Amino acid sequence: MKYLFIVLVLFQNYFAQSLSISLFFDKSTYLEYELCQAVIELRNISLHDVRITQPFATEAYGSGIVVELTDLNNKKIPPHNMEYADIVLTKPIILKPGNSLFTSLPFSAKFGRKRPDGPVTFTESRYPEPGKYKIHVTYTYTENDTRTTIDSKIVELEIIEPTQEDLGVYRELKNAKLNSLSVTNEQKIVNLLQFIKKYPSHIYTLGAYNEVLILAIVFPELHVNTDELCLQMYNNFPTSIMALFAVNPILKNDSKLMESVMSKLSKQGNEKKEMFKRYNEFLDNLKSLY
Amino acid sequence: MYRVYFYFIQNFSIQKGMDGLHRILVFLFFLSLGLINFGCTDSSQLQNPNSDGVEAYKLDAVGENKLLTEYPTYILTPREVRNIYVHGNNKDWEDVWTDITNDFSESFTNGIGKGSDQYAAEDGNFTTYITIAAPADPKDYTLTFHAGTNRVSSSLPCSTTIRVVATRQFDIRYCYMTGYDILNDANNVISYNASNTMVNGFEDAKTSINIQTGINGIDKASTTLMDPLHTNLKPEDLLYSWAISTIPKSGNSAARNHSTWLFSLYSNNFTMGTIYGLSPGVTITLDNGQDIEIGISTVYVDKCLTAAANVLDATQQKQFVSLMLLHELGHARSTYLGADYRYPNNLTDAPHTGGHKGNGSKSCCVRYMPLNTSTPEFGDFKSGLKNIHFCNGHLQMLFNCNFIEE
Repeated sequence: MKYLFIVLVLFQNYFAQSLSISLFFDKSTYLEYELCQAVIELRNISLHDVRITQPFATEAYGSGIVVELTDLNNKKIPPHNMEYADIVLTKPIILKPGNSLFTSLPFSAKFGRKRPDGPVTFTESRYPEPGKYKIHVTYTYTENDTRTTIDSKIVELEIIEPTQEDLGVYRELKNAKLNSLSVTNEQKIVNLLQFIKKYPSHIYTLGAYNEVLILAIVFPELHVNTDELCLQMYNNFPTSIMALFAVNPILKNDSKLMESVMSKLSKQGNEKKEMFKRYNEFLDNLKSLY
Repeated sequence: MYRVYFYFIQNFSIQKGMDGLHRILVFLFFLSLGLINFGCTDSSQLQNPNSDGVEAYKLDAVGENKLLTEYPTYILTPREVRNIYVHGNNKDWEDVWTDITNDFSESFTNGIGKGSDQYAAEDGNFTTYITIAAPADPKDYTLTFHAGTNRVSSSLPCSTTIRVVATRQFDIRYCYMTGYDILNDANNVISYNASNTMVNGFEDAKTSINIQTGINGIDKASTTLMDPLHTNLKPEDLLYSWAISTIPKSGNSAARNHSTWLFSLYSNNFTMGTIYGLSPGVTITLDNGQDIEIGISTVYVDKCLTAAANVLDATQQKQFVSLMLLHELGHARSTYLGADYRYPNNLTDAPHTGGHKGNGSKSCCVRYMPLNTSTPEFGDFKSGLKNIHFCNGHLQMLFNCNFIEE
């Protein structure tokens, strides 16, 4: 029997699925028009290196990732399919045991529908109808000449209708970030910062933070203090994965803050905390991976 | 594979000197592992049923005695001649034809399974085409199709809308980074006949190109926009934000509804090309208050050149940049097809793998580019660089794109 046990351990490891895929959302209920950005993690759960030959990005053709959203009657909600990148890996990624790759899933942008109530501006203006949904993600990869498809757990989501008061706030946000050709970036940032000041922790304010951060990265000449902004965002939205990832670069040089963040994460569950640790490892390895 | 596996199991237990019971247990254990391993994986291979040349245009199988057109609406310009592909199922039918009406004074007809460019299967399924000529006046017409033998119809008639529009025009606003003007690269320094590739590709799609300058002299500093290190923010969002803010400075007068902003940029980061838009989503508000939808296509020249460096020669690498140009513009052109054709086609639904039919299907520029010599499709990809084109299936889709700037 001793041999059987050894063989069992050795061969379970050899034949077991090498990769796992997971989908992380901040919460299970979202307000319509709220910025909703999930995270997808591909993890090497084997004891050997795995060669990733397909890009791991949700918006890339041929990436092997398929995200499927269904309503409770299992009716598929097709994605927008309007943003894609043609990506190739010029060399395979060697993923070490326990290491992960991450990509973001812009849920609201991907699955939203153009609403009849006025001009579409950007991401969160498009949103699935209020209701209950199920979402999961699959990834297909080839290892040892064998194609394998792995599936994440199904995540249940509910989109709820905003109140009139919420809609009033949303309209203010839309006016602040209007994509008008006559509105300069400086003006847009001023508008958005005013909105953030007025509604520091309103559910729609996360979208305003996102917009300012994008402008700040794209236009460094605008001299926005992104560190301060990220900290403020994280403090007002401590359960948001997007805010957590945004504040992450600051944590590297601030051990006290890191401690506080980890403590907050512990309260949100071990799964999220462990994912965040792996995300940090991923960032450390990113340059060598790609 | 299975034989090797069983041989291994048998020898493993013998070598370990196990008794009969243990050998059976080991055998069952390995057998279950083998079944799990072989059974739970998708070993399906990529299929390329068509080949270049005169390979048949094949539509989906249909039920017996049915006759269907490929699309519910066909867009043509005045007096334009276009093939309408129909598919049906009946072993005895010999011909398909159209009704004579006030609008169509002749009956267009064709035989079934008569040419090598047609598909006809043993089970009666077939795809054939009828070449029609559009009336002169821009409006909607109905055209009815029949199938049968000796011009006696035995199928339920099938009707389609023939929409005649004044023009089929693609409005491009061209933006390039200093040193990356691929459309005016006369000496083929970074691309190879890119402008001709674009013009010829859309000439095949019977689409005229109205190109105007959008933004030129873009600074190289913008290359960080597509850096994958920005994992928290989508690179496309960053590019969009940049473009939307730059257009008013440099290209406000050229901004028109349904125009595609084509960017030729440096960048050797991660992506060879992208499509953003056209509809719904990329909306900007003009100074006069009008909301317009635009598309943003990008070609990242350096990434194309370096990604292809190990598998293609110097000329082919530059041809690859031109291929990427037509590829991205193909995506951009097809993302908005009007109310009847919001998302009807495989240029948007399964943009690389689907929709390849008929002539040129194996080396269609819309295909995913296998930059790996061991990939089975590499040979077709490489040979396609000499004649960069859309396949017949994608041309049919592009014929149905008629949106023009408003």
